[in-house]
Amino acid sequence: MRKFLKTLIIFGVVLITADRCFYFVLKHSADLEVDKRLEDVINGNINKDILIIGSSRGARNIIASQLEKNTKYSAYNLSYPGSNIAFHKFLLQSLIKFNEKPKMVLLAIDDPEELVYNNSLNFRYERLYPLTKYEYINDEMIKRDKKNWFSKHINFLRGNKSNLDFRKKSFSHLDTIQQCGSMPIHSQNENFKSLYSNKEKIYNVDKEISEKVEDFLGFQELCFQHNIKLIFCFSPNFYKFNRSFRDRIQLLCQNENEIFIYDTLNPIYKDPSLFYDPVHLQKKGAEIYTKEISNFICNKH
Amino acid sequence: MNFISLTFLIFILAFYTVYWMLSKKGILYQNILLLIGNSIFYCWVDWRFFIFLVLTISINFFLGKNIGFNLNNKKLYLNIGVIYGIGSLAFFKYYNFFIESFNKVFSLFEVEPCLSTLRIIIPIGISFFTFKALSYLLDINKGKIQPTTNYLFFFNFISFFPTILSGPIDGSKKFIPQLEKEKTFDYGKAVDGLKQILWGLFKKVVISNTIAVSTTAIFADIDGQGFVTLIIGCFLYTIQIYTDFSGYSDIAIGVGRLLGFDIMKNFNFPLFAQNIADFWRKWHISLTSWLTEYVFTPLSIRFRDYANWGLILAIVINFTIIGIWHGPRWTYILFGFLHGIYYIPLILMGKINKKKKFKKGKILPSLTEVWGITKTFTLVMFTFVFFKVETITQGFDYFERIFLLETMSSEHEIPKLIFLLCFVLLVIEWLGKHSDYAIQSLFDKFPRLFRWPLFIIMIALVLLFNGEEQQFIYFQF
Repeated sequence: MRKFLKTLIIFGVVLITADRCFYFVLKHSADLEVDKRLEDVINGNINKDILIIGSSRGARNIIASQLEKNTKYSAYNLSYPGSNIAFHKFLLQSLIKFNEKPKMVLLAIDDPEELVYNNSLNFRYERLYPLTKYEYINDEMIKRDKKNWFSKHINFLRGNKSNLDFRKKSFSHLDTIQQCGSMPIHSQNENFKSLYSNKEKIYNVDKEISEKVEDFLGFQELCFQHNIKLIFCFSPNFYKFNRSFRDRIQLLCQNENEIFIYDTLNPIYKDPSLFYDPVHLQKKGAEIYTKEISNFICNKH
Repeated sequence: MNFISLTFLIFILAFYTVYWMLSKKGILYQNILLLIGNSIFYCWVDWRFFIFLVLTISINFFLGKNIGFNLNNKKLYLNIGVIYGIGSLAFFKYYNFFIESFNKVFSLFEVEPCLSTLRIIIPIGISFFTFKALSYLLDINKGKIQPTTNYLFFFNFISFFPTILSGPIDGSKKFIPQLEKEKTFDYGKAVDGLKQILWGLFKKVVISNTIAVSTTAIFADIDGQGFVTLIIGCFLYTIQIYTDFSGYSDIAIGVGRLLGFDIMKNFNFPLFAQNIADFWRKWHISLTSWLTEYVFTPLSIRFRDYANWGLILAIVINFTIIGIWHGPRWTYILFGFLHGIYYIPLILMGKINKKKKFKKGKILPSLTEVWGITKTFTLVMFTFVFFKVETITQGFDYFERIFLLETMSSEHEIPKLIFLLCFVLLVIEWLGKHSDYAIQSLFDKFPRLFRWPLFIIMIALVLLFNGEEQQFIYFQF
């Protein structure tokens, strides 16, 4: 028994040493990332007047640098394709914690998937894994049951298999992030059918997920508590505007938050050459839409 | 309490320490402690059925004594035991399945179904502890063992926590004598146990859980996959289920060894089986041995007048029972039935009992061996499609898309890491195939300076790959 315990203790010491050394891998993982926006948030480098948050609609359709030029406010796009409202709320919380709070937040609404189940809109944990060297990120993972409490002290538990990919990441054709954080697209999806749909969809409230509604309200509450102006932005789709969904968002819209809807009567949004697919604009479409938002901000604020 | 959880780690550390601290106090203390450990473990997993477990143990203990010592009513007590065991399994696991099937048959004849299903919660581990209890009674009846007169030993035999949830289904003949013997700490056994646990964890957490992401995606959207992806899908699912179940068995056996017990082997490198008979000699050994002893052998004796056809019938029945044992689904029954059918050529060629063994010291397999392994693996992996899908129609859809060479492009792209992990698994298993488990003596030739870093890498990988909790597939059985 004594021999066994002795061997176990020596092995334990070697294991702990290896675990301590793994910290260098964790540290290096963040450097390999090409999307540094979340790390910039944690390091307090995003101090802007206007912040754009959303999923791919926010990332592709709103160009922060153009907004900056048009409105004279500094702006940054912190939208992550495939992210949901819970992730958006986490982003805003983090931003407020580590940076100067923005004057205004533009939340790009996923019309009509914002509050219902959609398997392509998730909490983007894989953006957090390379940053687990930061206590704040690891605590968030513990809070969300993705890590256990021991990960506070054991680096192997703090890490993830993605930490073992030592290749430098690079931008893909679609996800090239500009300096301002936006990710406009320059091409069209080959499967895109250029036939505008005039059929208006009816939004079904029964399909909503209560957690998403709570996060949506929580996002508004966060802005209210920190005196941040919140604007919900509806971007153009290549089908008829869904008024029943707008009514639902209007019903949930609290305090003095505003809703911005693109010019639904403008025939230009029926031009297929502006679109990448039915729900995302190409760069030239994004420029038109961003101009509309800029005018809205300049006129109202 | 999942084996791969912090709760289990704390439980086993605490139990292990107390167990060996009090080991010098004698068998009684060891067994009382084991009883407490077994009870805590089962209650933690599902306290609602602890009473049922105790009842099953008590009834079988009583019946066992009467079968052994009350020779006049031996048959009666045995029948009660078999009816109780099979009856509880039938009720908890198959009642709704039978009712639904009957109702379907009635509706075919336009008769209004009159039987309703019940909301039944299945006691965890019921298939495993029921089979243990049954074998105990049957062995006493045949005079192979004497009934134990110590309730404590019997309780610990049935409820032994490392094996109660998913086996191996240990026989009383080998296990009860271990409980009756005072255990002393053995350094070699403890180290061996830890190594086997590590290998089990590696297979489950690193390999099985990683593959599970792809197989889940492929089987969830069969129509969206090309035939190549579907073929790879069944290959991967075979590896997944093997690493999942053998991983569990390795952890269970390893924990048993830490406590000084020798638990029967459940897998013997089945991925390298050279024919279907060889496969079942290597896959889920404890279940196959149980059924061979108590179902197949009596059946084959009964059907011996029909020569090969009698043997075929016995085998097909035996394997259909294996299918049913897994659960109340037609897909499992078809899975078992197909394996029974696979035996027919072997029986007709008289090769069923021919044992295949690899020569020691030979690194590469011969061409005949490669052919045997490939052929068997392919046959087996296709049957596992029925193990994964929920309805037989889904299974046939899967094959239809494969054989019609439906599309080349797939919705799901399988990560390269999965292929790397499969390759690593197959190489390690091949190199360690002459041991009880792959890494048992694989690294022993190397000095500690080289061996320890390998173990540390394995531990690191287990911790790094350990994401969200994933249940073992065989927990549901």
